Amino acid sequence: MTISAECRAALAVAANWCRVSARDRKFAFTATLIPINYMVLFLIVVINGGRDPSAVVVQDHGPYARAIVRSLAGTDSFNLHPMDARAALRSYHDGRLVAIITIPPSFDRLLAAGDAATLGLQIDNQEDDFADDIRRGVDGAVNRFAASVAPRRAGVAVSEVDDNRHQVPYVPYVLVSIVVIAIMIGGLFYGGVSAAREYEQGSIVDLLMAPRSRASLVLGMALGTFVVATPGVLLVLAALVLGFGVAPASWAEVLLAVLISLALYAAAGVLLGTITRQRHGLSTLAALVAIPALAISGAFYPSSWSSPVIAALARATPTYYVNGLFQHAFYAVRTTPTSIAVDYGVTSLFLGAAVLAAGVIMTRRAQPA
Amino acid sequence: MSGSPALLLDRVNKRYGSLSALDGLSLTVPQGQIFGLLGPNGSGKTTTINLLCGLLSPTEGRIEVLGRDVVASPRSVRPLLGVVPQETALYGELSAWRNLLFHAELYGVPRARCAERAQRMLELVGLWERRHSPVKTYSGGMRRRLAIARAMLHEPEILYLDEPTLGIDVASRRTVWSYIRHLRSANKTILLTTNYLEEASALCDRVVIIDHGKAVADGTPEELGRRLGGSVLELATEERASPELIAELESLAGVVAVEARDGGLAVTYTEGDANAAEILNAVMARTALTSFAQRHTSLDEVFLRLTGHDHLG
Repeated sequence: MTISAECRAALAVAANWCRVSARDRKFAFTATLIPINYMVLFLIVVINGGRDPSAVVVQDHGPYARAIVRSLAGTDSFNLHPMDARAALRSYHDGRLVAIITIPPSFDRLLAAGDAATLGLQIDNQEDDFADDIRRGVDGAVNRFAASVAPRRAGVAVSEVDDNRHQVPYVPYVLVSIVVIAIMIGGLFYGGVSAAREYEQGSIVDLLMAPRSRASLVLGMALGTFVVATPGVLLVLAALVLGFGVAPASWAEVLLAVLISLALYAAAGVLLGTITRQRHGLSTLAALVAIPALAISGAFYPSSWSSPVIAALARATPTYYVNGLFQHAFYAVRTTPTSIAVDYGVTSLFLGAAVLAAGVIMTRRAQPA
Repeated sequence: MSGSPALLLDRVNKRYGSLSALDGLSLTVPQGQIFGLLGPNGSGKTTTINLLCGLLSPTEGRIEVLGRDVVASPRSVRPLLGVVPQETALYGELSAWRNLLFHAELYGVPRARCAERAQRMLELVGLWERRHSPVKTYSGGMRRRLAIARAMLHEPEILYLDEPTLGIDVASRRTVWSYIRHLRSANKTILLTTNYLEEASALCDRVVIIDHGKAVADGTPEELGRRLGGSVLELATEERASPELIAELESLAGVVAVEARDGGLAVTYTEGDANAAEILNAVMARTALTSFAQRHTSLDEVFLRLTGHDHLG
């Protein structure tokens, strides 16, 4: 009887928990989003990030040229897209390709004559790790071709053109993302708390009853968040500079990027807190928003090198532009095809939109959750 | 503005989809009155307050505060209002002094006058000595007094008090009542919702009872008692009242209700239509009467009869 009573109680607790969870929409949303988030992260970083988008421009259609293209396509290092020279260059300058491999018109003729043929290789080498992937991939493909297909005595050389004077090693490139995530989480969390607390303790009524605009209230909360979150961000910056030796290309740009991005995420946090009206679960929600946004933003490599869908998604998020601001401030490299001024402009627009949205929602939600 | 009513709701509807929170509610509150808004849970009290504050927009109807349209110009109306929400909504981590100064900044009280006004209000509510203590260390009554002080800081013409004495002890309740009366003597208009009918009876010049978003009765507490209830004759008898006696009493003209209790009866009747002697005679003919008392119907009984709810909320 005791065991049966215990089992009954356990089942009742389980059923009750399921019923409560099913009726708690925020919980259900969060619980569903967590695995999706990590799936997105893994897909982007591991699968998508492992194959660099590259173009192959085939200017010779002989058997050797076709064989080297097959060998290149069999390499895991890149995702190879056959293109004509003009389209390849356009995509490359738009930031959608890491490299262009050119099979010259004389390729088959030179090899058949037992001479050396040269492949053209143009690399966007702003990120060291990706450039090395391309080099290793091309070398491997050429070696396999030389060993199995190319006539004896003939050779294949690679003529490489690097487009950036400064290459950023992979680890320092990714380290900059730590600043971005610190700002995102700090801004979203503290901003969320600043708004949610007003709802929880009912003081939102006093704020909304004041003869002031909603934008002033949201900006006030965002400004308070900015002050509270700044020490954490400065600590991360100090650790990066002093601990990892990452020297910014422009301190002024770093400070400007911190200023605008922290203001943006603080306002976005206020928006989040205005939606949830509860502090409970805000940290989880902030992380849920931040992780996929960061993953697609170009934190690990420029987003334009991702699949077209992810690249398009990235361009619709502010973190894409914020990441671009920081990569430029630290290493003077561009991870977005737009100019730095445009990136600052778009970030400011997102800031304005967050303030506006939080103000509108605040007007409609005067009562605690 | 001087001739306008303090508050005016004219055939106001508020609907959420198919749910009607207010259904053609009309109210006029003259300046300088304490006006009680009573109703059970979900009757539309909070919706009414939120509409008057401009925190909600009506689906239909007109709402004015001192002659100004709340929907058209909410920001011009807000300085006229002070609100003491049910949750005192103070910053517990901060001192009373900081809470008041923050409110003064928010409402644009001139900088030079902030400290002087905060001091005056804290002295008025008897919290000056504790002004630097964190509010979280205050009792419920002290918080309520501080919330009233905060709502009055920017010198509004109208004060909304949502359950002003909910959850506080009897002594604090009396203190809060005396502040509310003090505010009326300063010619402020006060709209209060309350759980306590005793409170409404003690404080309000007029009361409106709302149920399902409609006004079901309004008037002074005494008027409501007279008009809707009349008098109650409480009779103590040696034996429990028989069904025959109850039926006979109910058949008398002017008798509104008969309630049998252990050791007696309560008979509610409208004076003029019935009289106490007639009722007493009917009772004494069937049982021995040990004592009786006559009183006016309480607001509680009026409320119960009108809404079918036995308590407010």
